Amino acid sequence: MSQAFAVETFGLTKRFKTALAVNDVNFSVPQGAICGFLGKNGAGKTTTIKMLTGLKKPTSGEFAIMGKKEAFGKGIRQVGYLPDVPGFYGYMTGWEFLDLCARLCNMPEGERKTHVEDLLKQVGLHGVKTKISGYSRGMRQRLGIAQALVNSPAVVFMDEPISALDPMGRRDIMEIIASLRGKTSVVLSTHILSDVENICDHIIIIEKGKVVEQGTLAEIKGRFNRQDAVQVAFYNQEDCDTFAEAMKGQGDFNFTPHQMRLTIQSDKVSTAEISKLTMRVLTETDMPFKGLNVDAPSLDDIFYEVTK
Amino acid sequence: MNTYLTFMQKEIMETMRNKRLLVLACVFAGFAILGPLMGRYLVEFITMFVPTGELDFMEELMGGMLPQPTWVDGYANFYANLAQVGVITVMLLYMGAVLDEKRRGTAPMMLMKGLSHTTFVMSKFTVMSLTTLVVTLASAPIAHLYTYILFEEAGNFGEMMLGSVIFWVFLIFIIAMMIFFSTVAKKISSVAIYGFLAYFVLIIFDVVQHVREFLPYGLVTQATMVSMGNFNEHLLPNSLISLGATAVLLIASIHILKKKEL
Repeated sequence: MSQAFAVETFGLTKRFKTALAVNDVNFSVPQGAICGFLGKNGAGKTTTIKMLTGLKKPTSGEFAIMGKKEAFGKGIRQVGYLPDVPGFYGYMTGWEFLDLCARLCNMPEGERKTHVEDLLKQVGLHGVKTKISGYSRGMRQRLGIAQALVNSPAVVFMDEPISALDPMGRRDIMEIIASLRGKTSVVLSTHILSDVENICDHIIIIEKGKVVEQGTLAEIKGRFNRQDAVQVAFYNQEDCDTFAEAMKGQGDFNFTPHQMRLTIQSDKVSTAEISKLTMRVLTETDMPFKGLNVDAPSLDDIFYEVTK
Repeated sequence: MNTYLTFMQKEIMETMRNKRLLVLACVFAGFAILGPLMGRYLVEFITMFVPTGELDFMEELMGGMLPQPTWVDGYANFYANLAQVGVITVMLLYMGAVLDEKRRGTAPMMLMKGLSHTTFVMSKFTVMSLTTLVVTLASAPIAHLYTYILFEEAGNFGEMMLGSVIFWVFLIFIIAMMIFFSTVAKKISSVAIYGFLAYFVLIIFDVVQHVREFLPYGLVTQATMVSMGNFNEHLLPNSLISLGATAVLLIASIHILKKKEL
């Protein structure tokens, strides 16, 4: 166990009657990181999160939060949790609900009011007098985040907080999550990989209950040996083929033609060099082209590759 | 203690805002009026609507004229109605006590904030018990007064109030039973089935003379008797057994909830 990690798991396993939902999972999340926890539906994300929040009992294995071993059934004070569909008392206002949560956390009265107000401001619900039963889905997710932060936890687990939101709601929630960087460690389970790529500094990919990848995005990309590539688009296939022929004489490149597009990669030459060379060949041959861009492998590509 | 009071306040707010108190008050007050009314006019209704030949046959069966109603019938009807519709209302209102919170996801949210499983169950039980105590204690004087108006006489007021407290002891057993089923079951329909089955079993065993005295349902008879000024030696053991069963059900609920994955 290390103090440097917000979350650590050691052979965490969960077996249900007929299925092995989580199978010998080992991972660690650095303190202060926003960690994307990725996996297909049924991969074991929610079960893992529920074990780490003390709500489900692991069949075997252990886990530690902020360097301290924790267990099922004991309230883990350092943790905040936003379930995929957060439930509330619909007859309360957001303020009343957060005040209840803060009181259960034994927050002193003087501090409590200010803390609740601050949280409501942080999630954009300050001044909303409506009962929670009248909240939109986005408002419920914001309140869910606020309740997860009410005890000022060291780690917050968020289970698909944006999956059911419209683009505006999604953006708002992602901004709130991004604002937690450096203050709280966040483990964020989601299907929206572009969001993960934008805000997460650590990534864990789980497939069929097993961790198949973990690390920073750069580390994962490095491990997958997916280099950047230069891609040139042409107006017709003939130009594309002619250009490929002209490039072949320039060095040791790998060419991948696809629908009037040519992707050029090399183990030995940098992307910048390939781009420079490509421009020179295009100018020399006076060949018309639609566009030229550097194609970097996305998290989507890696995710599809490791989970296929 | 602090979290216990806090969660009790939440339960009180829920009881008020979800209109549970209003529903219970209407049902209990309604039967405080209807019970004596039925006791007073039931014989008159029968003589009015049953054909003369059949009425003679009924009188023959009963060995004479149909008995004239007295204030005792007013009290007896009040408790008989509460033991049926009143108890069923309590069961329906409280069958989601724990299950609703588990399904909605509020139980894990609250428990993760530092609320203990014991406090979670006990604060619910306390507020539900206090709510039923209020409506039972409020409905008894109504039944007493209405009986007096209709029959121009009634039993001792203090004994009527004591009878209502004994009936409440039976109600808190029902509440503990519903909390237990609500903790164990996965579906609300299961809670309803278990609850009504258990209630049905209690009623069936109430017919058996020597078993009745040891089962919680026997308190319904005890409450009626005490209200009429009749105390018997089974009152204390009956009450203690009911309170013991209530405690066992609550302890079991807390224990099961602690072991349950949410």
